[in-house]
Amino acid sequence: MPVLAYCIVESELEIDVPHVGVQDASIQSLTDSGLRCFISDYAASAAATGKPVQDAAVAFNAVLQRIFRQTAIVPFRFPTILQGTSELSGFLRQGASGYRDALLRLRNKVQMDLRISFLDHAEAAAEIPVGRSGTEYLQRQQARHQKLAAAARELRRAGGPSVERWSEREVPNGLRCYALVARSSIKEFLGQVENALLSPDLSARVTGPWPATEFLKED
Amino acid sequence: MPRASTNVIIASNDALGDVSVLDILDHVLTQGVIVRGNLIISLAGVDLIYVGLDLILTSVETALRHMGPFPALASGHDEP
Repeated sequence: MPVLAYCIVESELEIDVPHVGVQDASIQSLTDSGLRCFISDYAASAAATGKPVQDAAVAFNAVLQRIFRQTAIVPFRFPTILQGTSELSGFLRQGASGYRDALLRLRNKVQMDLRISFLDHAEAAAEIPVGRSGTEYLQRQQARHQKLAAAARELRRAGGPSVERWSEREVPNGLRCYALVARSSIKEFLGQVENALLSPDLSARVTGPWPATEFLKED
Repeated sequence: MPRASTNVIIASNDALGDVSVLDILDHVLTQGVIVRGNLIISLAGVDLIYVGLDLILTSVETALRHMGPFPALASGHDEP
């Protein structure tokens, strides 16, 4: 039976685990190499498009958040479906040392996601109006990059000393930033970052706390 | 030069939070460990799942582009 993998935690921790997860399947766990991995049986024959997948993703996140409120986790990307538990055990053994180190290092840390986007959809797509040149396109692209970079710098500055680490990724419609913050500093971080001053044609959406997936590896 | 604005939206993920379904989808589909070679497994119906994910991803990205500065706040159980 295929299994859906949720997340990895340190094996010796006592955790209050949800009884059911995606597709109302029972949450089980597998322990190997000092790690504990939460899984549930997954029926691939269930409807696999549209709302059922969306509902499954929400149910998946609910399981992660319930465990994450209690301890650091290494979540799997949704959906990670393996053929069985032996495959999962092999995966845990292969990466055990790195995951144990990460879980220890990130034990009291969370990730805050900041998504910067243009309010003007045409600007977001960096579209070229008909009749304009490629040079103008490149200049617009450069200006766009600079604006996004400036917004990221401002958000990082505004976050203050509660930001322990920071990373960024360009996405088609803007920029994603990730801040590593101590769990005890979440409110302080949010209170500071909401006062960041951005260009009026930009907005930033801050969500979290999430598991610190961007920071699993040390610098 | 345009004046700066405080156009920062906080969508908290705590028990009373206002993180939207799109935020959740956006996060769980793009973050987390990947077990390489296992997102597609050799079972009937898996191709449907993969195609479904492509559609979901497209919908999320498209929806995020059109979310605007102050999207309607919703609980984690609301429809996008």
